[in-house]
Amino acid sequence: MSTLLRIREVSKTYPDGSGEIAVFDRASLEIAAGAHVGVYGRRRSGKSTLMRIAAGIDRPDSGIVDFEGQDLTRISGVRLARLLRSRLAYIAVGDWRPNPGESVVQHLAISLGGDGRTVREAERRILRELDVVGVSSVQAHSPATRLSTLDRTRVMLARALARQPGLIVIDDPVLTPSAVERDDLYLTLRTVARERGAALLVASDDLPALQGFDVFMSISGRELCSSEGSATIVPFPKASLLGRVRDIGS
Amino acid sequence: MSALALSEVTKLYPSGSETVRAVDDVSLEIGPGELVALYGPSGSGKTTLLLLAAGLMGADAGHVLFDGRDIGRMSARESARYRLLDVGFVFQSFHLMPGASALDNALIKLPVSGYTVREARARTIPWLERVGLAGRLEHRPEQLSMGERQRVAIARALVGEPRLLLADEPTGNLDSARTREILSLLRDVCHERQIPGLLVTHDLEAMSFVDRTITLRDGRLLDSAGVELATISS
Repeated sequence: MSTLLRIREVSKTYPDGSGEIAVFDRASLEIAAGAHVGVYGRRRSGKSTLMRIAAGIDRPDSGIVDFEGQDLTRISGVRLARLLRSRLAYIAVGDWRPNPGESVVQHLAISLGGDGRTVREAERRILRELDVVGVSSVQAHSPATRLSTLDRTRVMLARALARQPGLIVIDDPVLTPSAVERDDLYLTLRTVARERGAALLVASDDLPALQGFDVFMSISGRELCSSEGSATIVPFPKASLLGRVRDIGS
Repeated sequence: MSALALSEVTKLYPSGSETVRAVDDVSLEIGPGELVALYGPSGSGKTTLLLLAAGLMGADAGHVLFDGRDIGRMSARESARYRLLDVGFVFQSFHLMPGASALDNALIKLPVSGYTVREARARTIPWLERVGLAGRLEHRPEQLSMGERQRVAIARALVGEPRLLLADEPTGNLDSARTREILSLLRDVCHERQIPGLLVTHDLEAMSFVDRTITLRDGRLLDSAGVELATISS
């Protein structure tokens, strides 16, 4: 399969008092078209930074982030914004900021309407996608500000699907819901991504939730470690750990 | 030789008008010399489980037994002695005394347990050396990196030669080389002294250092981590 996203030798530091903290030091990974890659790490391990770098939202200090032939570390803001409304979807529940008074479907339709559709066309499209991800029409017409974090992830996924992405990047899709609900969401995620041929890059601190992903990576002690799978993984220089996700409870 | 057993333990927390079952009907036995890694996402009940085992929190149902003694039925005095003498606890946020040296922080339990300060220092220095802090004995917490503070907290948990080791993310601030050192130290302590150990962690590397792995989700226990390590090499 062709390579969709190639992150090569990416380093990132954040200022910390008088010094700085290295989040990544020459980390590399590749994601093939249609592959499902899960990244496991504890809180503050660098998962969110990796997800933002993969989506071009955060720029590394050095290294290359190549998505379908475009270097996201050098792309203009306008072109990145266009990419994030089409081939590359980035989902973080913290980014759900609807205007007061908007319904879910109105909020989604307005952001989709900017892509050349009329609002009415966009509404019809988004209602279909909401149904696919398990959001009822009652919820779709309820106030957008009242969604649970779980449903926020679902509706943001619906918006992403309406734009036919090649890669969906998801940062911690759920903030401590029940494990049953989390598993249900992840199942929806993998099912729709497979149906649409989209690749997934998902960060989570819940190991069992990542069962069934093609490739499993972990972040620990500033190192990115990986298993081999359908995506080609270029190991981090110090990579030592190979993990394989398997079904639990069997 | 000592052993820890939790029998159908439940701990409830009020959350608004609802009640959250932070630990839900958990049964678990950790034998002498056995080190167990406990995984689980944030909010799954891991720390609560450790606090219950340490006698720092009471269960709403079920029993926590250490060497056959029911911790929930101990008097306040017995419970204090259990926490002082039997339990070595590594707190996630360290709880070091600001302004006191690494050495004083690490030895704090010993004078209360009957040692003179001189004896306490003599016993503590080798532990600080074992966690790689030989050159930091007189440094105060605010002069130490997070990883160094974490290692002071680990030394403090071990100096009293506990009969039960409980550690909450003991490698959360360490790089991978230091993580491996600390994990092998904790494993050696449990194996050599034949004491049970329970390690809350998110670190997959811990799997290769422990005897068994368990996972909490929604307060309930799974008997694996949900992942299987294929190979480990350096």
